[in-house]
Amino acid sequence: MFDLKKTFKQAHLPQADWLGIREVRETDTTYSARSGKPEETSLNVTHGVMLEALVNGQLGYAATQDLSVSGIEKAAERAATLAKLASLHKVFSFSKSQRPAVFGRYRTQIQKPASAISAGDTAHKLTQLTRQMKCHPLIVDTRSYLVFVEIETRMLSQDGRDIEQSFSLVSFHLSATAQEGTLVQSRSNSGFSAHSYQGGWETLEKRSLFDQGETLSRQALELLRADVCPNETCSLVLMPDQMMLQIHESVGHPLELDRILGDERNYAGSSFVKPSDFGSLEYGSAHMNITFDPTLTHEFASYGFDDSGNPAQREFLIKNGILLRALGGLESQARSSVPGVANFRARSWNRAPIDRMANINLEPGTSSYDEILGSIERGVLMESNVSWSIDDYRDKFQFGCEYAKLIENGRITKTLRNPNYRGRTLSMWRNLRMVGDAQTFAHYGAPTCGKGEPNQVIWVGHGSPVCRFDNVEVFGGA
Amino acid sequence: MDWERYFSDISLKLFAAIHKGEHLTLRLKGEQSLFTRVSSGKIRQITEVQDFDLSGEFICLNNRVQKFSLTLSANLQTDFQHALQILEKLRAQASGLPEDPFTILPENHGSSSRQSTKHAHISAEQMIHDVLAEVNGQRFFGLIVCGPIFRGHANSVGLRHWFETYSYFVDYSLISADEHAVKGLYSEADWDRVKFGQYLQESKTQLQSMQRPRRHISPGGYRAYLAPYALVEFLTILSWGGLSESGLQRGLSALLPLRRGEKSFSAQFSLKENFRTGLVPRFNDHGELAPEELSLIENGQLVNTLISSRTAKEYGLKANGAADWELPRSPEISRGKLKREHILPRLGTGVYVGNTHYLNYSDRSQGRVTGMTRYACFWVEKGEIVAPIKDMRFDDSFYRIFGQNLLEVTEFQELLVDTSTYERRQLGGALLPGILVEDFTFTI
Repeated sequence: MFDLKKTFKQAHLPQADWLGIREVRETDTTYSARSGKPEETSLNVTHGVMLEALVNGQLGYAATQDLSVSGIEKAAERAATLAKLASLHKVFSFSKSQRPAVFGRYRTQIQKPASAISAGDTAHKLTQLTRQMKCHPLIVDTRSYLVFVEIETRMLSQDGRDIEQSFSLVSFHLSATAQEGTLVQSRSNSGFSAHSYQGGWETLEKRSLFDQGETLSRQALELLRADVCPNETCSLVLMPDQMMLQIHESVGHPLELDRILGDERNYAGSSFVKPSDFGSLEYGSAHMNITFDPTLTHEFASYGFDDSGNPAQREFLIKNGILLRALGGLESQARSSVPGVANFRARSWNRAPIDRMANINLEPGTSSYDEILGSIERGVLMESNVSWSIDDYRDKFQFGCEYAKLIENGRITKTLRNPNYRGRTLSMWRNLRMVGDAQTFAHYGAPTCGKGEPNQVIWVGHGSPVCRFDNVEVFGGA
Repeated sequence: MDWERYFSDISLKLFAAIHKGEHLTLRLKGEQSLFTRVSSGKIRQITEVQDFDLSGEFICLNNRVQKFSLTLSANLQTDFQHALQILEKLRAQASGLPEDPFTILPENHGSSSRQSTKHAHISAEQMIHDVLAEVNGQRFFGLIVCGPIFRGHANSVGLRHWFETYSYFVDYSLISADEHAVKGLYSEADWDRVKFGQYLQESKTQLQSMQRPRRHISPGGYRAYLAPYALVEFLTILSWGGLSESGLQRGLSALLPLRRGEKSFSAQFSLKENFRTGLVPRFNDHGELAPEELSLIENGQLVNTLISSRTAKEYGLKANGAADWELPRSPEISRGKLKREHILPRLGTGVYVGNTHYLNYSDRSQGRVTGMTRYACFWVEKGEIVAPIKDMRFDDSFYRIFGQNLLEVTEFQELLVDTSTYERRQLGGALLPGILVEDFTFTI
């Protein structure tokens, strides 16, 4: 059994201003089924370490799967050598301040782990579910997908950092596709893998997610007969499972401080937000309150410390519509002097950490769902994201949803298919007119937010109440 | 470390450890990479990664199929014991699993071993030094990647494949003081500082040509030229189930109307899998060899789809070496007759789209996509570049872009290597021309 502390202590380490090691061990157990047949049962294990060395103000990284003492020594040597080489061209002179020597522990609270139900019973459960959902000749495909992820991380350093974190994550997806000729409509449980949480079976069971199959099939069939979403500018009500994408793409990503500093220019892009905007930019209406919150027990991206060792705490990013704080870890904060949060994260042992989202939530307001609907003369309600696109400055966006309803004179009147909307970020958020109360609040997760060079995905969480926006351009499909 | 030998050794040990009636397929995916991330002409992060992954499929008890993977530590005995523990766990739980009626048992299709001769001749550190010296304070952002990549495949009935290549690329954006941007991707057979400098100079020249006030264009339809770097994003999104037989059967393909003959593409449009570029091994995750070339869309007609062995079994068809996900692995859009020097004159008045960004479907079943312009995109009048454009969102359909509105296809193609590094460095690339289209729809 690999003992990081013992191995790190035994290794002869090179000369460096600071040296640390981050171990990640991850086990993913995946089940999927399609149209009444099993599709995949898999067990995937990854285990490795990343050595980080600070030399002359530059950090160098070396990741290895060789966990022997000599393997650690070689990687540490390479990290220090690379740091020295790169320090001649460094973008900024970092110090040990960006790697606090902290002791800490974090563990997901879990009641019913994956092993509570056998692999066989789990696979049969999903297979049966997809078979039941194929309840009509026009249902051409049904799919279920369930993954349990166990991640153990440990971070040590020569100057006493010692952080252990243990995460249990679960994601569950269910969908039905109906087809008549070339008209195809799909309906899922809130969009792909939106039901992603920290915890175990209990997070899925308490939401009755395994009972939704029949409803999804029925709604997929309903959509075949539904009118196409009209093309007009009107009020738009977004359910929490679409607010997730609205927050992710038009709040989370633009506020990533490394993007603002230009690091992502070549890949994911930059941001319309400038360092000077913090403290003054009217990002949205006074109803807009956005938090970075790593403390919600079962939200997908809760944690105790980021991968620089910075303790994570809840902070307002936007308060009463005014932009206050960036999504930037200690390195970006040092480069920019902009206040940030503990969000320096790496997907696994084989990637260096970068500024990421974690849990980014829109805080509840005071309006009930009925009040929001009742306030609208003509509008559209949309739920469950199916498509997302935004420009490289995080300004001009377009989103598509699976399912929508027309609102007329304060009441829902009919179902709409192929609902899309487009707009611009600040204009959209400044037209946020009503925010639902805590009764309407729900949080979801996204396991595969992609960014960085080299590329890496990370898991993030987004919570929101139901929201009303005005003057939004909505439209239907082809 | 001889990874081909290591893979062979661990494979043989594991094949010897399975029981009668069981089947085992193994794959190795590995790399030894140096990633140098550059921000504003300086080094932001430098990361060396040594990562070797053994994955496989274990079949026992009449079609109970389980997949697995583990990180290889490079200690043969440790890795063998770890893999054995996983197999024992999978064996113990197999009897409770449902049978998979579409199980593909491993077969021996013939073996191969190939090592690419492409190599950089110099050290990674020297390459980084060369790049930064040529960049010399420019607002240069991007990634320098180099190192070997390994792929191995073996199964319990004797199949063996090996593919090993040293590759590199410099993927970058050059930004001007007023935030104009051009994109570059340098990846030649051997590293040559002088050639890289010349390539970078072309980017600088293009950036210079953008030093004019941006033109705001109104929403509407315009004649447009989509350069190869713009076209690759359309191909990527089309590949999301579009060319997949399973995708078509399950209603998830944008090409359903094409398949049913209800809509068509232009006779000028042809797309195929072409493994002659040699960037990616022909063997898929089952060790099956794809044909060197497979025509998918020929003169506007869907003539073949990508059919994996599993899909073939499910629908009673013949497999054609496609990977499980049925994505094209080495795609080529055929060239046409439009000469490079005729692009602007034939465009006349319209939009030159150098690159696109973040495409997604607005109506998948009808092949309608949305996305953004990015980097060097220009307003052109009477065949002359007038100004760079303010970025615009577009929303149009494959049936118009590759169909009724396709005017011409260029006689040249560009080889765009795959720069994706999610989980691991990818192999492959796409061979693409540029296309001239009518009435390309911009929205905001």
